[in-house]
Amino acid sequence: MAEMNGEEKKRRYVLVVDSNVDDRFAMSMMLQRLSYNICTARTVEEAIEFMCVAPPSGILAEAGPTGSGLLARIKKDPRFSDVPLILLSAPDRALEERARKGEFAACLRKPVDVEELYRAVESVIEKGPRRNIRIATKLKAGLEGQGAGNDGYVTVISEYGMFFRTLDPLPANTRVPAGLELKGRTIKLEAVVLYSCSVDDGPFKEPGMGLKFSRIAPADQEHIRQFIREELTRGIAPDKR
Amino acid sequence: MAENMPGTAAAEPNSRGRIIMVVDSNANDLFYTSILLQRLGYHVCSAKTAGEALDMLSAALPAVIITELNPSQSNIMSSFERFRQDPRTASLPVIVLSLSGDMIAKKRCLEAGAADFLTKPIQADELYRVVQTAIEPKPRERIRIQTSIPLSVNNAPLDYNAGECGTMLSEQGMYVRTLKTSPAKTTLSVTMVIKGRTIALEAELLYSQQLGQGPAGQPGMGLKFVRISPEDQEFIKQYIHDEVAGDIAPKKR
Repeated sequence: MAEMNGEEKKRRYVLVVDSNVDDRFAMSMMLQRLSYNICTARTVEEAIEFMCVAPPSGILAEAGPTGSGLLARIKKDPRFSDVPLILLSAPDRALEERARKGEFAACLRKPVDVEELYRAVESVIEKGPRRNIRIATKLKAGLEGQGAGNDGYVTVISEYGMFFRTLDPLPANTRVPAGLELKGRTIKLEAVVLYSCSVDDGPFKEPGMGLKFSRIAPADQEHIRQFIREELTRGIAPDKR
Repeated sequence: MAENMPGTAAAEPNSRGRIIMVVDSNANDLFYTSILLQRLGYHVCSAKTAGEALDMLSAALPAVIITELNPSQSNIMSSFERFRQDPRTASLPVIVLSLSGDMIAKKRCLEAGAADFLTKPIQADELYRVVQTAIEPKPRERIRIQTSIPLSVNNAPLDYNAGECGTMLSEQGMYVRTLKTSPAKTTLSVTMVIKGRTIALEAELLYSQQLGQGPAGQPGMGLKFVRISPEDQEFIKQYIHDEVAGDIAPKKR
């Protein structure tokens, strides 16, 4: 399993600082499942210890004394002043206003939603941040209509699109009806081919096509969204998501 | 696959549930062990003390616990024994890390049921091997890393621009992505350049995959190194270590 990934993301780490063990665990696990490397600390002092070992790409910390203490420390220490800080709190307009004014990078509400967490972390530490979570899958799917009519696998899915692995991809801009079995629910949708990779493009590229959902029932889209959330939050206490 | 799709969450079933609890009071060591294990594909919970780790059990039950043996504690067995005595962790494998190669402590830990005993500074390959042994039904011995190494097979250079290269490397073998495969058990001469060093070796072809076969559908062949100089093998080992842990290894004490 030790297959090192050369992605730049693997070279970055996010520091999670929270005195609550459940919240610390939930955030840490969600971020690890989203492919970030994580260190966790309970207190400001522990956080500073880790930051002295290696400055993180970003910090996620509970608001209150921990967040305030951390903010004060990183502001006055030139080694850390560029590290973006995201604070997590109960709804707090004053705190959100301070984030808007740039006092710190962002403010998220507890309990943390995995999609909001992903967007916030992406936006503060990635040069080309993504907005929507994509997960790797091996879901069976089928295409209908002219020239398609084949079964294959969805190897990546988001609530807005998927990569359909097939040796017979359709040309870009083709509209194609598709069917997808997802956790006992049959989803019928229509998608547009954004790009396709055939075997002729090279034997070492994954053959198939990137599809964007152009017509999907809101309930089906929500089902996909819930599936993704469950994949990322399984085993984490529901009230901590 | 997630590896081929930057930015895709690695929500693969096999990696879920394999949580490792790391306990170390030293921030340098805790950082190193935690990040290293995550790079090796595991999910990690970390704590500075055994008590803190036990508090986290309400949130997660790990597959294995890796804990330091702190010689400054009055009872040097305390961390380890606390995990042994807690019914939630009594049956979990516990790997003990020690600052010194104290043979008496090692003997006591192993007699008391520790899965293994490692001396700091921890080597990436050593940690990988003991974790694999402790929790995997089919443990691997060597770290494999993803690479894209240009190489020649039987003196014919592979077409690197077309994507032919060594895509996976361990100190004992590699996977070569190519359309030009040979039958199993064939011995091949392989030449590759890693970080400016030319390495020539002989490898046995263990298996080959045609286009569309295999989990990643990548055609190519799995090779086992059968003749390689000890210096070259050591160089590859060090290269892998540097790739995995070179930027996070704790400074020498």
